[in-house]
Amino acid sequence: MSQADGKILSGELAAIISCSMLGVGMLTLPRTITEKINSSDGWIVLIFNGVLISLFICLLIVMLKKHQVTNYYAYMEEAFGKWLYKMVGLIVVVYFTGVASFEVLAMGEMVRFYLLEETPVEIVILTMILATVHLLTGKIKAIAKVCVFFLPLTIVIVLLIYLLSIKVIDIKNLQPVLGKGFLPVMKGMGSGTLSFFGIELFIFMFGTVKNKNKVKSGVLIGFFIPVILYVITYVLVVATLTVPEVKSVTWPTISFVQSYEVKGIFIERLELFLLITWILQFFCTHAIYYYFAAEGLTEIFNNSYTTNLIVLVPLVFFLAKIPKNTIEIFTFSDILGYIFPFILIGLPIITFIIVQLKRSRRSG
Amino acid sequence: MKRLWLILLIPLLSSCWDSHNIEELSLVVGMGIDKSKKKNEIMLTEQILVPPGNSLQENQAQLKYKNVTVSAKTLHEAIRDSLLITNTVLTNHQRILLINEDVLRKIPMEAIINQSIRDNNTRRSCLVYLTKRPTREILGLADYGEIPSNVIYELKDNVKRTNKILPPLTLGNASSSLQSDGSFAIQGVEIKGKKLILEGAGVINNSKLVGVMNNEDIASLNWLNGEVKGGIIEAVHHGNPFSVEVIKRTKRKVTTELNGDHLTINVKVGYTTRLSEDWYGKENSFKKSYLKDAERVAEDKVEEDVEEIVWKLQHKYKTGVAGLYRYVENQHPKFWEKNKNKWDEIFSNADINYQVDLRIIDFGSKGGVK
Repeated sequence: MSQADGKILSGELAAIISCSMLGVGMLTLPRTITEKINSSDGWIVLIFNGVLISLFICLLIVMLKKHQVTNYYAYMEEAFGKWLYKMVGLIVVVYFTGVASFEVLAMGEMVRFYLLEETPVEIVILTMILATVHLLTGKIKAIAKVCVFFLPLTIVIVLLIYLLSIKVIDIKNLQPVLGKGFLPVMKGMGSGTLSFFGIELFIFMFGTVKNKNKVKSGVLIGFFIPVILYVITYVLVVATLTVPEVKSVTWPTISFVQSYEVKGIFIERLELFLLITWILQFFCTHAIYYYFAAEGLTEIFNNSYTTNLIVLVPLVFFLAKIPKNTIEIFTFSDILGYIFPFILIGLPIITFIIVQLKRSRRSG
Repeated sequence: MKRLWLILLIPLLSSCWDSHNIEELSLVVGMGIDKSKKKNEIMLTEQILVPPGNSLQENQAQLKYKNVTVSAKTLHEAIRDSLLITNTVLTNHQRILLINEDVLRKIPMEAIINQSIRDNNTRRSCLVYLTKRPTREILGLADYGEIPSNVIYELKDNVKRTNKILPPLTLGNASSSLQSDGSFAIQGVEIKGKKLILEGAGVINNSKLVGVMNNEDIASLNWLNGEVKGGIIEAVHHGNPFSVEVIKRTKRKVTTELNGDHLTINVKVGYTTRLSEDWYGKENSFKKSYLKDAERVAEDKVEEDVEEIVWKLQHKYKTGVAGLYRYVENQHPKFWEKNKNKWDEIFSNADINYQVDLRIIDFGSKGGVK
């Protein structure tokens, strides 16, 4: 088989990163950002955050290239030594498992609330996990194929839904731009991290990309597709619902799509399509994180990948059963939000510094 | 062994948990909320579609809907209570929500629409109307077998032809406005000569009904807030009536000026229009000056009307229904931040200058007499 080498192309890398970023964040993002800054300037925050993170990505890629990382776990081992590496690795795996179960949980909640009221959530979650396991037997190459297929579909459907909303948006609701000055925007910089979940994965995928020179463009394209979608979403949602209303609804993006009907084509209500495509995105995000959790366990314990896939089923499932209500679900995401900067920023920099010191001492 | 697998697959064909047969569902198209005779309770009327061909007697004229009325403390409780009478209620296709005036005088609007906003099925695009009569009467009006909810819903499309209807107020809009300045107008529905008509409007401030307006007020309000999409201006020139039809808005500019705490709002609008009717015997629309005069007369008429509604808003209702607060917020964010809570007072004391520029761009297929 041609895919036996388990390497992915840079285009596939972009699709995987986009798919892993587009998850629950997009449905709650207008609220989480607006809550923090209390004005309609969230899109500026998003653009700023996007630019900052993309600059940081470039830096990370330079660092990874310099050390010729092919396997991030081996790289961590080089830095931390055998036991500390296992500890750090486990934290990373726990984080991946956490995000995987959070996504599947959020999807379960959404499905329960909007689509299948009487179907037990457990069934929805379990079906999703089992489907994921089935997909993941094909490893990263299978995920790449799924993402490449789903991503354009999602973008087209979402943009179409947004296009049809033109009638209800009122641009006045986005003004005044920077009415309260620049300070609230600066304060809001850290908010909405949930929407950037997924970008940290490229560190772990670095070794699997075929052409190392194209990694940067792949990652950046994969990063900016969701960021642009986020900015569009934010602008439309706030322009339709107004700032105080956005702060008060649970799923602003869905509420936004529910506020208009389309006449003329044979479908009037479009939220169904948003929900369906978003289930696909939830599935992708979940599958990708699940894969990295299983992969991480394999690297740390040197056991079979398939065993890990199966071991993770009950773990992910019961982790998703811990939060008892909507507030606890959002707390869950907050906790993950605290680990996220560590994985994206702290870990690679610390690893780089230690390896750099060790290598220079060895050669010098 | 292979056969066994096939048998195991049978449960997968059973489809989903949540399946319902459509004839066992009650599709709600409209809801009405009245005050109940019991104290502290509200009365809910649900208009439910009856699928055709369900009647037993073929000859009898069959109603396309049935109404279910129940009374309870909260709206959701009432919906659940209605299940004692009818099948599972499905509000996904609800088109209108009628609220009786008496209810809004007592209970905040925010509380009344709370359930519908929270609910996962009711869409935010559902329209809200106000009624003087009990909503039960309005929803129960058997008008040649038409479904009252649909009749009301479809009337909203006439907003392009007349300016005496307020632009449709969706549940989402209502909720957003209640969250921000909480002051807006809501279209009324009445029964006249056994027909449903859109008439009058209610003024909501801080979630409560503070006054009612008539059709002329609505037209003037539409002129003020720039929502005129069509309709007629009638005026008199040379002692004869004539009418000008609005074609399109060409511009609208709202500027606000602050002088200390005193606010001045200048509204400038421009429309293209058509001279659509003229009773004057010596009409000569081919002459430019004739049209100019007509324009001026029509402009004066509109400005006069608007002045009147502004006076009413400032002194009678004491609230800025027209959504002008947005411009103050956008143009003077700091001032707004400080005085948000005093907006009604500031609006009532503000100077509002309204200037309309009508251009008659055509006069139909006849332009002169003799």
